Amino acid sequence: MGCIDNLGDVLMMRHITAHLIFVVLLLAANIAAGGYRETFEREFMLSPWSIAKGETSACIQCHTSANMGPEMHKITREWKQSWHAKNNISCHDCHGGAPEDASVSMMHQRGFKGSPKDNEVPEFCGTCHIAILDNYLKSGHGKTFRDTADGPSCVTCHGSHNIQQASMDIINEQLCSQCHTYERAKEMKQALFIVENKLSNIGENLDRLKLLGINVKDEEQSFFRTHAEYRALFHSIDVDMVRTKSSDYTKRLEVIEGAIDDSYTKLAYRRNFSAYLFLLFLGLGIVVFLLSKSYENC
Amino acid sequence: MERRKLLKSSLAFLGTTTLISFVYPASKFLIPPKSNAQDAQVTLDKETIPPGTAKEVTYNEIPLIVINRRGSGFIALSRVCTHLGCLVGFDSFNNKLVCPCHAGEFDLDGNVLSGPATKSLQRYPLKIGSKQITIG
Amino acid sequence: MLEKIKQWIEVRIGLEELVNRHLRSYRTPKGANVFNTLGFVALVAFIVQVITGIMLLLYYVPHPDHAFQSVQTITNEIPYGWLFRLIHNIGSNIIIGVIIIHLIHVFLRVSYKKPREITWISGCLMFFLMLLTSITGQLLPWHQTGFWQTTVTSTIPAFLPIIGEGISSYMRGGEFVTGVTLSRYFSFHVVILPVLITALIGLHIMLIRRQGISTSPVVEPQKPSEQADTFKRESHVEGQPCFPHFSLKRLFMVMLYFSIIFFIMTFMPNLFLPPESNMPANPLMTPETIRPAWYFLAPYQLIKIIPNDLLGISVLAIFTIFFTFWPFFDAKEAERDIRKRLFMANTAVLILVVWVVLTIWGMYS
Repeated sequence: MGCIDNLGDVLMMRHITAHLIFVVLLLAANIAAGGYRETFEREFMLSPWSIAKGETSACIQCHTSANMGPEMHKITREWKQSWHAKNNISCHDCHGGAPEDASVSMMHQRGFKGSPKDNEVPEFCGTCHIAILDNYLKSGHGKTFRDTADGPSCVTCHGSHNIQQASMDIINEQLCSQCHTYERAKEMKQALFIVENKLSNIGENLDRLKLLGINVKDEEQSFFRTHAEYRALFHSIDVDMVRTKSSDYTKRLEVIEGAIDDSYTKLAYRRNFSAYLFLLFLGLGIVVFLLSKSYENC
Repeated sequence: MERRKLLKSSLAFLGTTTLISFVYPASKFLIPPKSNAQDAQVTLDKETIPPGTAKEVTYNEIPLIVINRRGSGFIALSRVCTHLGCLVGFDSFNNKLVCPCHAGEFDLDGNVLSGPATKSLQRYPLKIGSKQITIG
Repeated sequence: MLEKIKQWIEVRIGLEELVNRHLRSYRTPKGANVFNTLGFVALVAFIVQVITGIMLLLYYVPHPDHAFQSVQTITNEIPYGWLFRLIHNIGSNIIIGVIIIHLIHVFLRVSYKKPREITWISGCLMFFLMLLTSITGQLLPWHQTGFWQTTVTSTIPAFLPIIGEGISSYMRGGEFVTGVTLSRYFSFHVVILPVLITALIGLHIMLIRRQGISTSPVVEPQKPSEQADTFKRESHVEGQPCFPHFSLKRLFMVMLYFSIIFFIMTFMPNLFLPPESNMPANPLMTPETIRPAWYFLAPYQLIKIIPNDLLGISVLAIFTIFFTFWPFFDAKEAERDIRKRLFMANTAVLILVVWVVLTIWGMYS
């Protein structure tokens, strides 16, 4: 009866291992010399599919060129790091104009608005951020701005080109005590605290669940609208209203948190079921192995 | 021989368990999914929505808006903006639906007029009776 | 009760004789070890892919507007949809690994020599068809990963002169990856390629059974003069009976294969599902890194390194042809014992190591 003859296999393995070590050492030296990435990227990557990578906006092309002064370069540099840039909101989305054709890019007929004057800033940003503009104009900040031309507008707190995702950190002593004491701002920050915490927690969890393959589209939409409404509410700068409405928002967010918990439970069930199947096959493997051994006669 | 017998019966047992562990999920997989149509229908009186106005309702936990369009009749659209999920509002003055988050605009058929959205608003079937409208 | 059933079948098809001839008296060569079972494991893996694929097919919608959502529905709403989807996804990668190890084993065993050339060629063809099946399958969920990988892979043939553009266009059904591409890839993945692979499997197995499994040149050294010029079936009179000895080895390896799949599913279920595979395909936004599947990293890296694209692809094409038709390029009278053919053994190991190094490099560059 045949037995397993290992001799041939063992010799072969020794041979192979020795060669592996030698060859790896040889190749390591060669890898270090590889410098062909630029050629590859130039020839292979700049093709129809790299639409996003190539710079096609006339605005950016001019305003980053050597013809422009350092202030212009600063603006484009700041924009590139902004939340707007990450979401593909470019110059023409706010300033109008035509980004595809340099010759008409700044013409009035193509909707070019230029830079807004100081008192035009809220309407400028409010072209898109409608709900926030509404609340802002009704707020103490908005009224002061309109009546006295002195007071915070959008760019005071958010900047003009390096706009980042809004967070509670924008409310800080340095910024808010320019016109009045920090006390009021601090009260507002405290009123926002619970809901803001929930918002960031939910945001993180939704991102994580998405990476794990769970379909969170409905929850994401519900989260976004709650989030957006809450931020719009804040711009009314009315601490009492924020306090009263916080419980509503908390309830809405708790519904989403429930859905998130359900998803984690689902994932845990999947892992347990897979582990059970794994152990089953492991056990089967062991039994078959032993059974196979019992037929060997050597 | 005893050992072999034991191993053989363990194999049979484990094998059957494994088989069942696949047949059960497979059978559940093959059962056609229940249609999500809840039996909750939403009924509205026609008189509550004069021409040129709209009413917001909730159907299956989805916020909808029922618009009485001048000249084209009733339509039920989802209020969830197809950009990021904010709820659109009815602009009766300009006859369009506007999203407060990023100024996305839709016409009264739900098609995108301007703004960051790319897909039209979801439309829901309506049954129009003599005095009432039923969704679902 | 069991006896009665056996008798019923026996009268109709002569079960007893079949079992004896094909299972008990059928002998495997001396020294048949677990590596010899890999062909069988590959077959089982293929069947698993087909079965899980059919299950997914019940709910999948091959249209760009619905494909992504249908896969999400399968994974998250259909009961145990996640299980079959993940088996299909993880299995598609493991089967390539199994085939590669099987290939290496057959090569080192020098089993491709006369009279087994066609077996080798059909095996290589199956390997390439399997890779094509993986490529076409990647597009079907219509996620960012699949969409952009397809864009890149369908552009590689375009570097070939004259016929290149035509091939790319034919693959894609146009200039860009669209719904037409999806339909094309769907029909290839679900019907055309499986049918071709099944036909080749039939040929491959028929040849093996007709000629007999090759002997191990290490355990049973063969003198070159013994290579006959007439048909002779290897019956391995001194070998183990297939059933139960070799069958149990096969069963063990199949259990190992399943264990690996479920190990991955338990501890790293998203190993083959990078973050971009949870985002619907967006033709206007390229992800930061487009990387092909692990088994394509080596050719991809090779093309990246060689500055001239045409040269790079030619190197690959030439290597593929050499590889597939190797039984005809190999020295006719040479020994089957690889230990006596150090030059070939070393070259093979060198190529293997280069392949591994290129793969790792491709992963990190």
